[in-house]
Amino acid sequence: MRKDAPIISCFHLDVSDPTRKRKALDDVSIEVERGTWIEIVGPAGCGKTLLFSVLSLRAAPPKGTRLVVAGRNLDKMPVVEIADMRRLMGSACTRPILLDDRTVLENLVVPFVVRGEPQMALDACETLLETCDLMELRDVPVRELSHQERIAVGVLRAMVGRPAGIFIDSALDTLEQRLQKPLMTELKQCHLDGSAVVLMGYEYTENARRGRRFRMELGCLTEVETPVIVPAEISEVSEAGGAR
Amino acid sequence: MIQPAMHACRVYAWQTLAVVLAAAVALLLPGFVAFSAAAARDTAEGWLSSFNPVVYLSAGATPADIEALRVEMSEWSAVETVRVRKGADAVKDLETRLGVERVRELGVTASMMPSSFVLVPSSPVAGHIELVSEVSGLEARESVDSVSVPDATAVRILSILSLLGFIGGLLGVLGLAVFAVVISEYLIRLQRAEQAQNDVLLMFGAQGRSLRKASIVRGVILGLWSGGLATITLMVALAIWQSVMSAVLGGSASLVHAWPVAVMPLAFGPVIGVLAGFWVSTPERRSTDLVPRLLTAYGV
Repeated sequence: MRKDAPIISCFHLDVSDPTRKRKALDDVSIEVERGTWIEIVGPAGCGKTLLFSVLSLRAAPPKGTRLVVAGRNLDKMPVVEIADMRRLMGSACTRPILLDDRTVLENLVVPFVVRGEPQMALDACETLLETCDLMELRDVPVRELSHQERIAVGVLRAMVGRPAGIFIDSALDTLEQRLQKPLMTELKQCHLDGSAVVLMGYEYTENARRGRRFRMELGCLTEVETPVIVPAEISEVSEAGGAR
Repeated sequence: MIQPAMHACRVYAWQTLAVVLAAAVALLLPGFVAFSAAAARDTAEGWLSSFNPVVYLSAGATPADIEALRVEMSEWSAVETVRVRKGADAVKDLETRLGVERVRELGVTASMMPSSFVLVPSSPVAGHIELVSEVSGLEARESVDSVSVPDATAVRILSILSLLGFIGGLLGVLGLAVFAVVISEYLIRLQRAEQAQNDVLLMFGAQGRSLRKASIVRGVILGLWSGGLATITLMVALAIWQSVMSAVLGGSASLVHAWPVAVMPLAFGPVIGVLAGFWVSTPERRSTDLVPRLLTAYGV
């Protein structure tokens, strides 16, 4: 694994959708460098979730796609090592998979357990909950959470332990302000700490100025030029806490 | 927070119990057929092993004929010794079998009983078909009244028991297949119940083999429970059979074939459990909600 290599690079990703007689993803190439902030927007059904699944290594890419994770070609990587690569990533979507019979804290600790770092897990998770003003959810079983709170817990779990890459698919768009604002602040903190953040949604956030912006339509991904940020705007964005 | 392998079995305790019973029955039914055949075969062979052919002499046999016959039979390779049984000895044997009172009631005396030769084979009579035929041939002689040897019926019964054993073997294979299906289906169900946990673990980089371990452990333990239950039942049946046969035949049967049949479920259960656990936990058979519909539909 190369420390300076992009977290993930994807070249010529094609997924056909015969039911619609067009490609669900059409020759998509993107490179997620370490410490970068990327936002991908597009309407529903444009292929964001498919791209999210491939980039977050939830799904194997179609044959013929070249996927390079941390400098290593995924095609030539044994399954055991692909699992290791997943440890570099945290991901969340609008329907997060949570362990319903366990508490919020137990759900947040899972990435640490899988990564074999349980020592600081409890402190890190409690700090994260406190920072995001969600400490009251600490011992609540997930099955008792509202839909919005479930999404928030999913996003928190993606950030916990500061993984090298954080991928969020449309989750923040659906959250109400009281949940969205602290999560966005924490995401910015992760970015400042060196994590690459990839946000997918319907509209750009104010933080889009921090990095690269893409637009996705009918399966095609095109980069949009990012306006230059003047220093005054940076401080405004920081004070605003990332709210749209 | 990661639940141990047997947690799901505890959560679905009643279903687990039902599956263990069903799987035990799947092993037990063919086990009973094979076991009955093996136990009957053991008993029949045991009876044949202790069987000594008897040659009853006719009343008109002269001492010279008798001596000539004794010398002739002593020279047969399958015969170790030839014991002469006089009328008084025959009455004693009869009294042992029927009881003194019964023999007295029947009015049987030593003079009424014919003299006979008891042939003690060098090895059990079951392995000496030529001895059986040779003794049977003596019936044609004038000095011989009748003979007592296991006739063709005994051999026929043994061959029927062998066929029953073969059918038991086939049913055993079928039973193992049913056992494997019952265990596999339940393991798949438990795996589905833990799908969210498995998905989360995979998402954050758990190795596939660590997920497989849970199914394999469950397979072994369920196989062990079912196999153990079937074996205990067969052991009890075997003990009952042995005591009944001892009472009927007046000697203990060795049951060398029946004991291995009784312990087979205990051996097969965990082995099939491992294979079932391994099979159901392969990535192709593990359902997941991680992958979007489109990617799943095209198998990518």
